[in-house]
Amino acid sequence: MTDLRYDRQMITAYLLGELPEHEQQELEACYFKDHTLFAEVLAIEDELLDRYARGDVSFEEGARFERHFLNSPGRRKRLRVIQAGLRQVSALAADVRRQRLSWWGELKALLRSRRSD
Amino acid sequence: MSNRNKTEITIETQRTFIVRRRPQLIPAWCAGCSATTGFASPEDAAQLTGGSARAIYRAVEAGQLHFIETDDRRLRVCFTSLLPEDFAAPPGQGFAAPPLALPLTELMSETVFETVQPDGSASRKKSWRLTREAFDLLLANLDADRERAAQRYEMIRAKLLKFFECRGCPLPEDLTDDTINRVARRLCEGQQIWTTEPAGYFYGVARNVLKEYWSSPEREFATLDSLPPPAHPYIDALKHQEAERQRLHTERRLDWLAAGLEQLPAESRELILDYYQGDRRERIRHRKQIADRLGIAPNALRIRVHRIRERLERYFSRQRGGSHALVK
Repeated sequence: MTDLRYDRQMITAYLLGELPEHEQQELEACYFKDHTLFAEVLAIEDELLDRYARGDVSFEEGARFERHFLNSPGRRKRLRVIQAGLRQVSALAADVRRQRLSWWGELKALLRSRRSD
Repeated sequence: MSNRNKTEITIETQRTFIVRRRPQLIPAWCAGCSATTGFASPEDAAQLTGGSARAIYRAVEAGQLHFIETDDRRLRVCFTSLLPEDFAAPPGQGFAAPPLALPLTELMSETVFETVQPDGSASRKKSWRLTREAFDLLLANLDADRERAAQRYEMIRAKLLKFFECRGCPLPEDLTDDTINRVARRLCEGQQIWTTEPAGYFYGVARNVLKEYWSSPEREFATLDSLPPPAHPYIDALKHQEAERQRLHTERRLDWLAAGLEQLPAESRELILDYYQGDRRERIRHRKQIADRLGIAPNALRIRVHRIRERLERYFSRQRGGSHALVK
């Protein structure tokens, strides 16, 4: 069971390197023992990377990210992967919209041809 | 006037210690063989047969191997039942003189690098290599079942990586490996290091590794590629942040533009894209060509494009709840 002492805000502060040393140690000792808490740390880290990749952060938040969070080459690599993924998804969504539009156009043409019959 | 030559000598020595051991057999009565024979641990039995400890456990459960349980409830496998059925021990060699020269297994290997500087100061650095046997021993200590042990190992490794990453270490993999090596080494030295939860022990060792890392001169060295952009010596951090913010802003607006264009009928989309092609004189000439092609006056073309732009503007307003002039 996850330790209830650690909420989302605290884990975010830990990932951004903004937690005091003794609180960092407590959290680390807990997630080494508690798999659920560790999974939550990973999930929040993914969300942070996702938000940054989407540009969904303020200027100050962006600076905080870059000061500590993106200090790790591993995280920077994952960020690049997410950004590439987002570009792919965006292209795919545009493709789907285009297909829907063409479907709608075909339907209109069909209705028009029936009306003229 | 005289020339004086000064020679500085740095001495570097390297010594390697390798610890090997033979599988240990304990003598005991085997009911299956009706004789006194040697018994090995499942891990040693696995090494002797070239298989895995899990296969040994399976064979024991299937009754294919003879076994006993020691007073401290440890499983020991009969050495004779491990041998092929057609194996005949040399005459006169009982258990007191083991019938086979058991293979040596390398438990650990440690290299000490010693450097003596010209001023007489010396520094030592140890390098310990994780052998397959040491790794097997580590897994066996994590769980008796090899697969479960591997899962636990992977989980501990993931936690160690995250710990070093969150502590701002540029190469968390190296420090993670160092931590695991230290734990494996202690196990090889025969230490009983944990009772129920090994991950907590790994965390304790990892903190020591981190302390050593913070105090080592190596942490001052970092390759330029491993530095984050704001820490790069020839990149202004503030300028980089601003440029990055601008880039993301532009990308977002371009995404909206692409999505907005998708909302337009194909004819309007092609017209507006065509209308903004070219530069200066080329653009004016191009627009005239479009007007001619459509059979309308240049002013009528301008009005038509203006209406398409208005539709796009309305789309952007809906997206952001404000107006954005994207097409200039």
